[in-house]
Amino acid sequence: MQQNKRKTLKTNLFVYSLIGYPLLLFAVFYVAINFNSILLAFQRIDGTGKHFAAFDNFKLFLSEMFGRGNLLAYSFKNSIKLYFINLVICLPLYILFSYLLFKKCFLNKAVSFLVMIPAIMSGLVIALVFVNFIGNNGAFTYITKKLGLNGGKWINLLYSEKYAFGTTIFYMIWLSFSTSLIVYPTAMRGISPEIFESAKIDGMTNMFQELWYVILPLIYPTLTTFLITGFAAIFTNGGPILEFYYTQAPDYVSNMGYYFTKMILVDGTEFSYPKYAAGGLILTVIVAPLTILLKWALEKFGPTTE
Amino acid sequence: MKKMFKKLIGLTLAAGLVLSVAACGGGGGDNSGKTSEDVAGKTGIRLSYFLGEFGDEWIKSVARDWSKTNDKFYVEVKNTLNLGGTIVADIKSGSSYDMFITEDCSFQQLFADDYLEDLSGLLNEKPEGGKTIGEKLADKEQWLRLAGANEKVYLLPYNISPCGLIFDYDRFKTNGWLITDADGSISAGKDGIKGTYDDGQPATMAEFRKICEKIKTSGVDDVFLFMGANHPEYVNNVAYAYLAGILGEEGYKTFYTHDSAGKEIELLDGTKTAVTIEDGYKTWLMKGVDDMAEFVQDYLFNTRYVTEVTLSDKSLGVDGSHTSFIDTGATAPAFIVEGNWFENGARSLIESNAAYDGKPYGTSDYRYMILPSKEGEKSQMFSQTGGAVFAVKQNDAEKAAAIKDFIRYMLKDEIMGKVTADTGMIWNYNYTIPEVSKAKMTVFTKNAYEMVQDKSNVTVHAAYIDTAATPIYAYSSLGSSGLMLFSELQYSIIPAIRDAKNAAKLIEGIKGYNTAQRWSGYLAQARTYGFYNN
Amino acid sequence: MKNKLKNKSRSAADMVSLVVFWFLWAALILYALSMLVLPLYMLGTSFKADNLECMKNPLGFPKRLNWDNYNQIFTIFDEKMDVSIASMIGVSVLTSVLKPFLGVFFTTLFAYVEAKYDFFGKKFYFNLGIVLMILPIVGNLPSAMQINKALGVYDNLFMNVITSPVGCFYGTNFLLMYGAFKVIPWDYAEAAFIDGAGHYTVLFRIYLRMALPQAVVLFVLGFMGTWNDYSTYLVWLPSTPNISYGMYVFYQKANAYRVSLPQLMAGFTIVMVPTIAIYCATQKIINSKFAIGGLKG
Repeated sequence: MQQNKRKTLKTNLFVYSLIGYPLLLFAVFYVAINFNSILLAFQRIDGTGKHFAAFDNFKLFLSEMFGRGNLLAYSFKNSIKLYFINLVICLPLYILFSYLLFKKCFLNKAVSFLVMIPAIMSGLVIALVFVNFIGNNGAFTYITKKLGLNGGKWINLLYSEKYAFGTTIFYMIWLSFSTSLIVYPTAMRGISPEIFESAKIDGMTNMFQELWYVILPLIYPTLTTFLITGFAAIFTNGGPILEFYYTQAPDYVSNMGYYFTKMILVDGTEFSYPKYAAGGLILTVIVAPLTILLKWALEKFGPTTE
Repeated sequence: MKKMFKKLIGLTLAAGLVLSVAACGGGGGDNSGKTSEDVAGKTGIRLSYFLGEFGDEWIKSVARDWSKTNDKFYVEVKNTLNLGGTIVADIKSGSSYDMFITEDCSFQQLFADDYLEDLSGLLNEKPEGGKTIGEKLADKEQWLRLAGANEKVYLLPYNISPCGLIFDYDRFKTNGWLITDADGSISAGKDGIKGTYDDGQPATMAEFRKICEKIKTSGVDDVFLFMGANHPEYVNNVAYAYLAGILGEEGYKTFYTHDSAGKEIELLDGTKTAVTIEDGYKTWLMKGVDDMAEFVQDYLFNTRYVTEVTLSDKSLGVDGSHTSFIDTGATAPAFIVEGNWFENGARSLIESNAAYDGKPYGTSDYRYMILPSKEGEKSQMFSQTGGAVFAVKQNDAEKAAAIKDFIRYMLKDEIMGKVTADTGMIWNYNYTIPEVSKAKMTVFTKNAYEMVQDKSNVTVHAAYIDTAATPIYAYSSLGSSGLMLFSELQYSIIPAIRDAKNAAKLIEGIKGYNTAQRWSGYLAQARTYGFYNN
Repeated sequence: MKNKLKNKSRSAADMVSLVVFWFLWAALILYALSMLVLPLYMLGTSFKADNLECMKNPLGFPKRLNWDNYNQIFTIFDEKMDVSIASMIGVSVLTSVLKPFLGVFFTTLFAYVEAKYDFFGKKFYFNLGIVLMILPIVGNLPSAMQINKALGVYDNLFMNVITSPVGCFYGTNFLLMYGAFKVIPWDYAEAAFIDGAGHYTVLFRIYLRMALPQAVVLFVLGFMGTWNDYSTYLVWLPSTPNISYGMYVFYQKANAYRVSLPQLMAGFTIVMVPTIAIYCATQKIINSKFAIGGLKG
């Protein structure tokens, strides 16, 4: 008994000697910061200091978020749009392209290298080069002018209401494949070859069957991880908006991730911090239960591997 | 070979330097304008300098010259991009700089806790034995309103360089785009004297429209060129100059002080009322604000006069717009919305353009086109800058004295005049440019200096200064980034009208955003600092 | 007859599948090639003579290769920036090595004990990690700023580096390492314990070595991310810029510094070289070891 206790103590000592430091950092830089952020949401800051403000900051944020035509309302809607566009367009493409790489399609090694370029290059640099590329003196415009598109005039891709949101979506999708085209093929390679063999014996002959009956169920855990963490990041993902526009993005391309960054950059006064802290808390309260529900649903109703 | 060697050495040394960087938290670099003999055995005064298009050569040269005269201290210039809020945060958390020269003056929140060195003594100093610095202040009353508290003066002015519609006078003259008298000669302009900076300028908006139409029908794409996606704030200076022109001095003062001093003003809905700080947001709904929005819509946001590229090309930067404007082609833009720094910033482009029929640097007759103002009112111009010079509170009295001595040295007419001649910068002081410097001035700088000095006909405002002098901006989350909010945190009219789509909707947005409730929040914040309590 | 039909319909589906496969392949190839557009445009522009050549010839090859842009960028950097280019590269090297190293090191340790030990709080940390992964925290920057300043971490490179491994028991990195340790049997440890080895010996001599490939993958990805990071320096470390932040400032002030577009692009290209080199050297291991499992506790 005594010996067991000593063994447990020794094990715990060993374990905590390894994880003590990161836990300490977590306590300060995660717990304390977020706790302070919660406190901030209930405060009012002015020339005389900090005061208890009850739910004033929450009311203010909510009235704007559900208002019409203001920046916050646009940002809220665009964030939700972004997630669903990603879900409907990107996810199927990730899986299909990953399948090709998994099947070692012709030139798969070259493709694997090239798709990593956005991860190798700085996001800022790519965005700046892109902005120049589609600018009036850029190569893209040179081509569109030669082709006589838009009456030979420059196409305003970043600021016209017609194209701006589409441009940012295109850019995000275009450069978003890097991680997915490593993770999904690796997950697919983890499936035992015997499973494919036995599936073939059972009559599986084509790509769709292989994907639907074997691959998707077996990479489902990886898939759910991305679906859940993607949903959790719905209001923190700012996309390339900051790099494209800095603080001057038109309202109709803004999203929540960008909104908070912009506000901190433009509205540098301490007075406004409580409003944004309250906004963060509101969004957390909206997304957290939904994310947990999504996780539960995906696990409950997802395919079984039998 | 030498360059390559330098590069290799740089890379090789990189890792070695890491530790020293980590240990001393930055530093390094030999670009601060000092030489080894200047610094030997001396203590450094770290100066944070906002590097704009006036460049840093002038301040480094002034710092170097002053350092030679002082046995104990030298001034070390560090280029930064810091303005207002960033500097306030920096100083509150213990800045590593001893003094600042920056292009705004919104540092009022540092006054309460004595973060800054009191410079009031300098106002009585005579840099060259003539006028005192106090006497040199260009608009003493307004400056002292923003520069201190409790009889202390923490900020001294820096530059107030105009920003507006710049055009090439010779090109306008050749093309017959200017306003002429009945005899066909170019009109004298507002000052009534021919041969001055405002010749051929419009007296009414109808004349201004006529000029724009003449330009447009001659085949010019961009009557107005600006960086709508990168620096839309420049256009604010044109819009506010128009607004101040139609409101007049008194009306403009009501607009930004949010107090009509008991007089009735007309609002957008046609009602007349006196406005106090309690309902001060109403001055943003004054009759005239709608005219400003329409002016922007009709001229600067009108695709007849500006191209989509001007309005929205994110890749149109400073260089790109300068290159287009200095082009000698017939379809080159007629006006560029720029400031006094424009020519100095475009120096290398102008020099290379000389090879393509362009004029040599400093010889083009660039001028500002001044918008017509209300009958009996002066012409109104705005400055994009409204800078300040100030020092962080020093424990070492000797160092504090040295900093003040450096400021006194910098504010000599001779030095300021040389800087104006070299860079185009217009100081926010009354100063006389020595003949030797005058001879070196570019034609553009001469015109601009002449305009600013013609105080009986022209007033140059700076939004930074006017907001910093008004507590509702300086001591609330309203901040000093602009004179009014067009929508949420949007101080620039071009993006605001782009979002709103037209002037009418912009006005609706202004009414919807600037409510009594929101205003009371700003007022409550300012009151906690002791303002507006009576 | 029935069998024949079945076979026929099966082969039709197979045909469709085959066509779709090759159609997708063509799309994938086009997509992969499109990844080259911006880097090549950047590279091409970096060799052009000046802004004018960029305006007149945006698409074509440069008239001649102006290598001088690459030299000038160093000169301008050194003349104009407050911190020398060598120092900025130094900061980049230091942080890009140390931050991922510390992060991966502590994540690996956490994943190891979670996968292999029973200890006080084990389930709590694991479940907390899952919750943290799915719990979005939005808008805590103001609060983070207050605390970092109060603790002296703000604008202090050393403190910033040593306090960087904050989230070691959640996130994709943790899941990858956890998965890696989970599949390694505990038999090796038991055998080692019998031979008299202690916990640390087993960890450092056996298991860490076995999970090294995954740790290397995370380190390399971390290196690239940290090298390209500019926002941390913009917000937290303004006095000790790394080369990416330096380029960002450089871009912002291109005109005041009299930098042309080709020179700017030359600078962007130089900044990319280390990440390309390290990725080329490690691509194989990244493609084979970057596997992430589910979130089930």
